[in-house]
Amino acid sequence: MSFPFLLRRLVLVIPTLIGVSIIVFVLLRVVPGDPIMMMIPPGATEDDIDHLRQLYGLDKPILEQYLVWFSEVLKGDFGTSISLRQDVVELILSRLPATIELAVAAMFISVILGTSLALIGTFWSNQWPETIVDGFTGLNQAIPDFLWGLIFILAFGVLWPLLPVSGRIDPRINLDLVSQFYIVESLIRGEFSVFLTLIKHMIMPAIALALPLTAVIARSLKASLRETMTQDYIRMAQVKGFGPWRILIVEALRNAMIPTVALSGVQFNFLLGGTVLIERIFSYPGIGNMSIGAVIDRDLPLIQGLIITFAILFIVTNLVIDMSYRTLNPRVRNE
Amino acid sequence: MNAVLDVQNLYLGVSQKRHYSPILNGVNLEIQRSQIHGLVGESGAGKSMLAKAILGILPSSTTIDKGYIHFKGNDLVGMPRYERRQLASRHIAMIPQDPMTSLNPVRRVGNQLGDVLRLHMKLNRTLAQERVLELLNDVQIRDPKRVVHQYPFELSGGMRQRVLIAMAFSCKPELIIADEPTTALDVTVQRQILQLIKQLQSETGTSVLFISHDLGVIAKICDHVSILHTGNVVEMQSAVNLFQNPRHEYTQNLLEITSHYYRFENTD
Ligand SMILES: Nc1ncnc2c1ncn2[C@@H]1O[C@H](COP(=O)(O)OP(=O)(O)OP(=O)(O)O)[C@@H](O)[C@H]1O
Ligand SMILES: [Mg+2]
Repeated sequence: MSFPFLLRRLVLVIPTLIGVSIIVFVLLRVVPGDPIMMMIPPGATEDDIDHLRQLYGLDKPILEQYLVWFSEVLKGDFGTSISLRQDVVELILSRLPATIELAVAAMFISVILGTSLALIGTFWSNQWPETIVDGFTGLNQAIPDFLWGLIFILAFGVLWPLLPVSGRIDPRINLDLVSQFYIVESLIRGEFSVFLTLIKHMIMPAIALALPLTAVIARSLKASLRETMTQDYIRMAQVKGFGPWRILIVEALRNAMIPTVALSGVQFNFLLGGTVLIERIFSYPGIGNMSIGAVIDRDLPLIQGLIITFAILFIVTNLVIDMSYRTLNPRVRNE
Repeated sequence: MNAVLDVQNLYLGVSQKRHYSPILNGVNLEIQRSQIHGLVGESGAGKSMLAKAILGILPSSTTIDKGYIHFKGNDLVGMPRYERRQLASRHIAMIPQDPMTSLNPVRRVGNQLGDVLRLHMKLNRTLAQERVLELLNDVQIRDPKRVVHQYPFELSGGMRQRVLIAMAFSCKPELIIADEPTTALDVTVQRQILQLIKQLQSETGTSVLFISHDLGVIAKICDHVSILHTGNVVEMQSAVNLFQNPRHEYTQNLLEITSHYYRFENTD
């Protein structure tokens, strides 16, 4: 991995984030809905309202508001949540790890499952396993993640109550973890019973989030594996006597992954966006769930902070994908 | 019997959309030990199909309907796939037509060669790495230590074909199938590659089935020549006799056209 590439990408991050912040800032102030009206107690006077407006700086022109907000952001201060009356950065940091664990789990599941399905469908192409893989991917391209969420809750929460349907952890469990990365920390500390309940809570939302991406990966990877298997170097490997699984995995998979990785960046962003609804459905305490609350309450500072956070997550995800693309493809690696 | 490979009465055809068309109609081909055996024929005569049948990489639309391919006391046609792979991959190698597409683009050249050695010669990683350097040296690649770490796209066509020739000879095979190994290369490189194949062949005593439609090339390096025409071997002679005394009408025509071509080329 060449250092200048990373540097170039990191430099581009700054204008991207500024652009995002401007758009969000303006949009939030143009759409109807007044945060002050959402927070005043019944019977408040005009004076109270004006006072609150001044307190949150909402009486100033947009440009001035933006500049004030931006200069505070540069100091690491995203303001105070209007509805929760807490520091935005603290609020987000307390919920972000939950979302990161969920999204990473979902990405992991979709990559492993999607790749396995593509390999199985290619190995037994034109036989019944391929038919099953095709059926599975077709179905999953048609069913959105939130619908899977509802189906899972109905199936494994209600009809056949196997798994908890809400939250991140059983509230009766006494947690003494120091970080918010519960799964990572419980694993490191070897607290496997805690780890297990965490997984039980996460498995349904993670799979629901993962399935649409799984389908995209399986479909695109199978198509490019099929194309790769007709290449001369595959024929060469057959003549050399390598076994069919080895040829598929060592010779074909890496080549076939290149176009799939290039295409999956957008799909990973969809998955991140999917956390908003999925976390809501499963009452999972992440920033997706928090976003819906913030929007309902017209909590401008919190919404701004959340959107910047999502933008950073998108950027990081795409950076990781681009870097793996470059690692896979020796032609562009050293450019 | 001194034949390495003995193809007898081979019938082969391709089915497309329930329509069957024959490609080979009873081909006989015997390749003697330590010889370069030429296979000549017009485009579409079925030379590559015959090569693929021997190598066991026929496309799925193609079937062998009759005949035998005898190799080391076994009939490759009737053999179960796994056993066939065990036997044939160790002792029958291939030099491909297109060196640009015959190496894996995302794997380092040294690893691709090393894997073959580890599979068949049972070498460990370190020994395989050393042997790879020797092999690259044998095919006159300068600076093998650098080349083993390179990817195919960093090498010229001629270099890649040298790597593939090294791969073909690496496990001391009894037979190498070379299907037009120089057509994708430019003329000066063609000559070097031909010389290299000829030289390695005479050093190792491997037999080579050399496919080409260039009679000039065939004349230069082959001991025996078979002429494939309309799905049949119409003539088999030693190279010397074939050029002086062609028996089949098709061969005579072929030689005549070629000699015109060469005369034309020489006076030019
Ligand atoms: N994959 C395939 N499916 C169906 N028919 C094929 C296929 N490959 C080749 N053929 C047909 O088989 C016949 C023999 O082809 P083959 O490639 O063996 O010819 P060739 O003698 O090698 O010709 P060339 O000198 O051009 O390489 C041709 O008529 C061709 O159309
Ligand atoms: Mg051919």
